[in-house]
Amino acid sequence: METLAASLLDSVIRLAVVWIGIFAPFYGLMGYVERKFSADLQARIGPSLVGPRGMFQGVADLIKLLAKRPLTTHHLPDTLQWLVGFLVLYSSAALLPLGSYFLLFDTELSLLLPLVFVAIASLSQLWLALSLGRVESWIGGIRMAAQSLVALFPAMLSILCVGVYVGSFQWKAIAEIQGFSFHHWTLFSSPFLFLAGIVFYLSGVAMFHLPPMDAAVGSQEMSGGVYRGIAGRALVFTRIFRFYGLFMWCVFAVGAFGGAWNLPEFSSDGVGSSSQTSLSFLEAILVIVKAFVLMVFLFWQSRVSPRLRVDHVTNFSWRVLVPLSLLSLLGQTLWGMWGNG
Amino acid sequence: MISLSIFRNIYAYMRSLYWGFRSLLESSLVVVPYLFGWGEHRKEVTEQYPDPVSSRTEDDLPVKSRGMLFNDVDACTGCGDCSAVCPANCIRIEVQDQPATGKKWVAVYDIDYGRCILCGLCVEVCEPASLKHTKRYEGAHYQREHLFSQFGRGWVSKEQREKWERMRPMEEVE
Repeated sequence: METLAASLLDSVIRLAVVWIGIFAPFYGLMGYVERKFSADLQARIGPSLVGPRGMFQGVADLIKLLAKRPLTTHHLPDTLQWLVGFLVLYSSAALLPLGSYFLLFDTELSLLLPLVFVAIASLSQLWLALSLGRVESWIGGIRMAAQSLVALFPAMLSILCVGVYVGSFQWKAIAEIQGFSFHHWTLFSSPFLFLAGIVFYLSGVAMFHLPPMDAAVGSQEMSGGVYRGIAGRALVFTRIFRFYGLFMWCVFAVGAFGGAWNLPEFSSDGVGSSSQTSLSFLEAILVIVKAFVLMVFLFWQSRVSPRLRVDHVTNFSWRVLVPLSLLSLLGQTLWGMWGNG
Repeated sequence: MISLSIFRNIYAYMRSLYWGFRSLLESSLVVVPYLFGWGEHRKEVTEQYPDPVSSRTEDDLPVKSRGMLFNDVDACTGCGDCSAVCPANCIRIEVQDQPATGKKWVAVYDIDYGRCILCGLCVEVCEPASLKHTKRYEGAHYQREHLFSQFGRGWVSKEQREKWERMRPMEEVE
């Protein structure tokens, strides 16, 4: 019983570190980086008022949003949606591949679980839309769910490529087969896995309605779609929820294709248990840095591409991502059979 | 024949993929100089407002900048062209006849900035050129009623007009 309590406490502490120590500051940082980076690309100044070089603009915006509307208008569908959303959120934090220490939960199907979360999240959005009782909300919800589910197929197929290569869907096995340097990454171990990595990343962009494929949750949908009437505090939760999707997907992409949490070889030789803890933090930092690069790349692309319409995104998924992922799965299977795997 | 068309389709598909990728790459590279501010034309073009207020004064604004409207009511003939042409229907003009001078007395000339879109059509049609754009551009108010600009001379009663008529010859003598 004592060991159970101790392990439970340990899990709670680790989750708290992931949420408060890693995710929350990273969210603040990325909010600033996105705004300043987009401003630089578009010859604007960007946030400049609060703090040095506008660094605390996000904090000011957060306070303003929280003060805007009291949380008195609770309806059952809203509550249900947040509940399902947060359940997905908290449960997926347990299997984020942020390092060997912060990975609380690792099964034979770890790599496939994010897809289940996406399916649940899109289902919850569909429920919310259907319960709002307005035609425009129904159609908005169906659009969002359609885009998520269409992108689920190529993501699943590209994950199967990793499974074919590694022989397992377990994070530890996937991390072991990779290394710190580029040529040990799954992404660069075969041309088909490279293709699969790109497809995986792009399908995540479509799945979480991230820019430039965010027409389904754009401002016109804010006034007529699923998120109609969401303002003030509820908007804060919506933003955090959406950013978490991006964060989770980038971390998963790093884990599956980008060398996972592997540090350089010499660092893990002959260290004590106290150094092990600091090493696990180093692992998490490495994963975060890689995810940061992926996110900045996405911000860059979203500033130079026009926002795609929902039917364009679904077309793109069916006609480009699905064939390419099928090709990479077939190719990777043959590549492995001929002794390269 | 069939096999040839399949290859042609695959070629066309790969070609469209290549073009999509290439156009994305090209557009991505266009913005890179802006990121680092290389070259004179790639610096920030926006200005700080409202805090700190931009260093530009009203005189630095472009010649044709369209600020708040001003009507010189002494020159205004009260023809009502501005009100007729206004697409936002924001100008209310009411006039009284002035038998003695033959001109019209502009009793009410209200511009509702809650509706005005500052398109400048009224200024273009104004024949005596009494209506002009100023360079004033800050027009925020706390009350809706304060959004009105009033240039009218006010209504004049018949007795008052008769009094003025009697005073006019005396002024001319002086």
